[in-house]
Amino acid sequence: MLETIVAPATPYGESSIGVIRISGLRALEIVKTLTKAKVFKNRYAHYRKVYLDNDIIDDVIVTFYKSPNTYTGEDLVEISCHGSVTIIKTIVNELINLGCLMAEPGEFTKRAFINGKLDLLQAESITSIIKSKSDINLKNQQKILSGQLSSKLLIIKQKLLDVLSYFEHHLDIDEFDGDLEPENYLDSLNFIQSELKNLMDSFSMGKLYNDGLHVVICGKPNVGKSTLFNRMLNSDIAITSSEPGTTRDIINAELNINGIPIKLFDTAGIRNSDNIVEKIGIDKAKKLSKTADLKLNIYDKKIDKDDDLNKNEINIINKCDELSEGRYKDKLLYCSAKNNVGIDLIFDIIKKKLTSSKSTDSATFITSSRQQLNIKDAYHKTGVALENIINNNINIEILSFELREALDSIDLILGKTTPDDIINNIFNHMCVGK
Amino acid sequence: MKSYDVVVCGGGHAGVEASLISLKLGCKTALITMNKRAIGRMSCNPAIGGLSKGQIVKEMDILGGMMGVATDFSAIQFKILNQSKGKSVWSPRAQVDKRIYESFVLNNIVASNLEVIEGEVVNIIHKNENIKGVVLRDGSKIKAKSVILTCGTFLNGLIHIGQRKIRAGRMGESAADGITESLVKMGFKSGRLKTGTPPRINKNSIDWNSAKKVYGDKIAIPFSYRTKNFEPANHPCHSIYTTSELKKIIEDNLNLSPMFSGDVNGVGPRYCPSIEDKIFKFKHHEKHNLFLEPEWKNSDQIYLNGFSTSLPEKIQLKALRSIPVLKKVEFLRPGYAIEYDFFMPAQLKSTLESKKINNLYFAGQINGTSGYEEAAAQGLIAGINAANKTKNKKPLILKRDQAYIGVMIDDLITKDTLEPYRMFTSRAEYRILLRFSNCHNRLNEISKKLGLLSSDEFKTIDLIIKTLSKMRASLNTKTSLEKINNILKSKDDKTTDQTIPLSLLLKRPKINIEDLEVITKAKDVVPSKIKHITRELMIETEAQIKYEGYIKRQIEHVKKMKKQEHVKIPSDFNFKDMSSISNESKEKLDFIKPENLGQAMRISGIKPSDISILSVYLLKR
Repeated sequence: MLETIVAPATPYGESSIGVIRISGLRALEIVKTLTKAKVFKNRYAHYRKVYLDNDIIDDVIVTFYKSPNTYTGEDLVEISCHGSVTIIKTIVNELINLGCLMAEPGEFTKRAFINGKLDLLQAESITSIIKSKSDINLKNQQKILSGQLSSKLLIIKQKLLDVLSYFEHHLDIDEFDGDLEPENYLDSLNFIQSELKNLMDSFSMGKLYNDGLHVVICGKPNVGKSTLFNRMLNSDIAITSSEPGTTRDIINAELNINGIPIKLFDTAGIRNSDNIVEKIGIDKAKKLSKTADLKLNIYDKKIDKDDDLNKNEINIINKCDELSEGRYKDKLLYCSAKNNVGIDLIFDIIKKKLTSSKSTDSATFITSSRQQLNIKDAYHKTGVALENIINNNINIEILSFELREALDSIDLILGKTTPDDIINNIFNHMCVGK
Repeated sequence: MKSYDVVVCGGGHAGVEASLISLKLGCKTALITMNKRAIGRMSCNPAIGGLSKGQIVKEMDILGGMMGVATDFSAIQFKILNQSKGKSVWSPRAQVDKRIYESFVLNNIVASNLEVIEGEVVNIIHKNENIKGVVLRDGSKIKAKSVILTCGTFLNGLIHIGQRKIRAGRMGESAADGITESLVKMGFKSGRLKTGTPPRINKNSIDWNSAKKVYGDKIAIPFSYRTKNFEPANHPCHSIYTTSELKKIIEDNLNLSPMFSGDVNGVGPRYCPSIEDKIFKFKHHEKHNLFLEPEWKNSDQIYLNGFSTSLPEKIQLKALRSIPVLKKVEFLRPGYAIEYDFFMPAQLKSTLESKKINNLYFAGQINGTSGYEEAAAQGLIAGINAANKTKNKKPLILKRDQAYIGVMIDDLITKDTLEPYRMFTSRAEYRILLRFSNCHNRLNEISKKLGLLSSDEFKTIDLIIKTLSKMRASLNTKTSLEKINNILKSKDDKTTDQTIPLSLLLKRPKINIEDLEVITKAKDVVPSKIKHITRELMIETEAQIKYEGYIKRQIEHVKKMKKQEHVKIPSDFNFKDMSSISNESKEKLDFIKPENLGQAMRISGIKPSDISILSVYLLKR
């Protein structure tokens, strides 16, 4: 039988409540000793005291979940204690003294997996949920958990199987039994390609929801970048003044637009400066603006050069309230950060930018790089097959070779041919307590 | 009481290979058959080999089997199939003279001093989990350390011709009963399968002038490296097509076919289907190709390949007479279907020994397979393993990446057998590695270790392998730019502005080794002793060069899969103890008792999550 394991389930650090999880056959027995209490009803919250020797160390709420209807599929106990690092440490240590083992990273989920609670895709998804920061991401994870990615892949797999079977069938019959007409399968292969491509593209999208979008405010000194930054965050994080070059280092803060996590950066105004500190800040700003997902170019009253914008850039003219009537041009975005004019428009346009290329509501996306790697591989190999057919370079044994390997790659995601190292890899990436 | 190391029950292709190899490996061996004269009989088509089956025959040849030698001796034409496809999936096939084939086999049996016992096995004797011997119809007992069952279609055989039913093992030969009951009593699970054979028609009733002649290849390739003095014949077969009238006649009479009236309980093969099946399933096909194949040289008996049927004789005749060439056709024997008992091969280990009873082996159609080659290969493996076990030697288990035979046995023991199992190219995922032309590279070392051939024969194989590497090296030389470009131009390929080695030229899709013949000395490296297989060596050389990249990729894949193959499942592992696996999966695993994780993965109906859980349980142990 598997050992009984314990781990804190909430992040390390000070918080109001800390949760400790215990899973395994001896979970209840050990907690009974810990709390010197005898009665724990299944799925009831019990107010209890935790003892170390005969001293009370904390007042806690204990909930007992009886197997098999638990996260891990085993008997599970959750102790909610006060969120001090010392208290959590002391309780966990005492549980270990009483016979628990400290859980390995991901071991709770691994047990859920062993006990048939999760399939491989679900297990991977759990890791993302832990890290997940936003509503949409949560929705996406739930989609994976309910098997939406699986069902999408199953459709691709079925199509691929159809094409492969056709070619392999031709390996099984001699020439006189029928003509080979690979053109008939071009549509299917194109469909497979575009579906795989969509999934591949969804990876960056999926990553976006996981890691958040980097939005950088940049522009010349004293155009009001920090004022806009503060206005967007509705706070006074950045110091603002009429003195050019006030912001020298990069400041960032998180906000949430339409469920998408955003990391907003305020940067040093870009100008020629002799000040070493400012120079470093300017360099940093330049670098950051290059890797940003979205760049807000702030101008003071008017745009001095009407450059072609990249897809991930927006021009914004600040201090619009200082402009005289009639100087507004269509197609340009005007705002006044100081007086809270046009900020909604900025948010709107950010939302639009984020959602223009992809529909965020119904799309399924992939979130792990392992999935991405396999999809890419399948995409590449079906692409080789497609290209061969288009170029009339028909070698059935080669076509079926490529398609079979593509199928193997998809099967790897679906978990069909899961080599052990993949399983281990997945669970190793989980944090302790899950 | 007579006593043997190995007793083989059944004198078909499986039985012949099993008993001869067991004898060769030094075991006291007996072959029990109901009819001595029927040994090695070709009960269906007069041909050996074909797609993927040709590979099996060549693999057997390296492993000491006799099918290849017999085929070379009796062939009336040789042909490589799949020539419109790449050389990695080519397969040899030979049309044979059945009479010569059968007498060759019989003569070999006689010459080998194998003990042949005429009789019918009715019971199997065992004590607890160990085999003891067999009982014959006359009550005599034969003691054996190992028993190999190669009973073919004879177990409770039932022939169907329309509504007529005849109890028989083959037309004109009686069925065998008793064995099934005896095995079922021991706890083996059996099932019913169906296979069919087409009518044999009278040569003189055919209008030959309007049938298209089909010859074999001009340059024949023998099946066996042991064949000396190879002088291939090239007699034609004839090709004809069915008509729309024939289609209608069969459609109108489908209800008379036991297939459709439900009289046959056994399930028939999806491939090699009966003509009524083909017409029913491929409604959009107006015509089907049929072949008129002589059963032996100058034979009056013509085998109508492609027209396997269980319709009443009258309907068969009526349908065929709608084809101009067969306007006046007469049968020597109508087509028929035969229904027979088989035993679920999932009850076997990968050595073909049963899991229930030690030293009891099953090989051939009794395992639910169809085809001479499939049967013979199982016979050979069972024979080798039975012999080796009595001598406490290691068993021979071929892997999926080593041989089509390995693919077949692995499939048999892990998949549900719902229809007769026939070998196909598509069943072998590593087909690019399993070429007909590289059997020696794949199996030579294994064969040497087991001593399956004579030292002379091994010398020939070593010579072949050496010649191949010489031939390959000869293509690394550069030739004049002009000559290369002439070839490229003649093939409508892009010309080159600097000279390249011929091997690089061969990598171009449009260029084949035959195109280079005018400028290479590749052929010159072949010593006279093996001159007759030059064509095969050329094919193999091209395959090695052309598929180099793919071969590498496939080997990588094999390596990855090997990891799982190596996770052994202990024989005492209790699958029923695993939690969180569905009962259905548990029962399946418990029935098949896979020997390693790789096998478990391939069991039909086993879910990926089951395997993950199983692998975690194995890690825990």
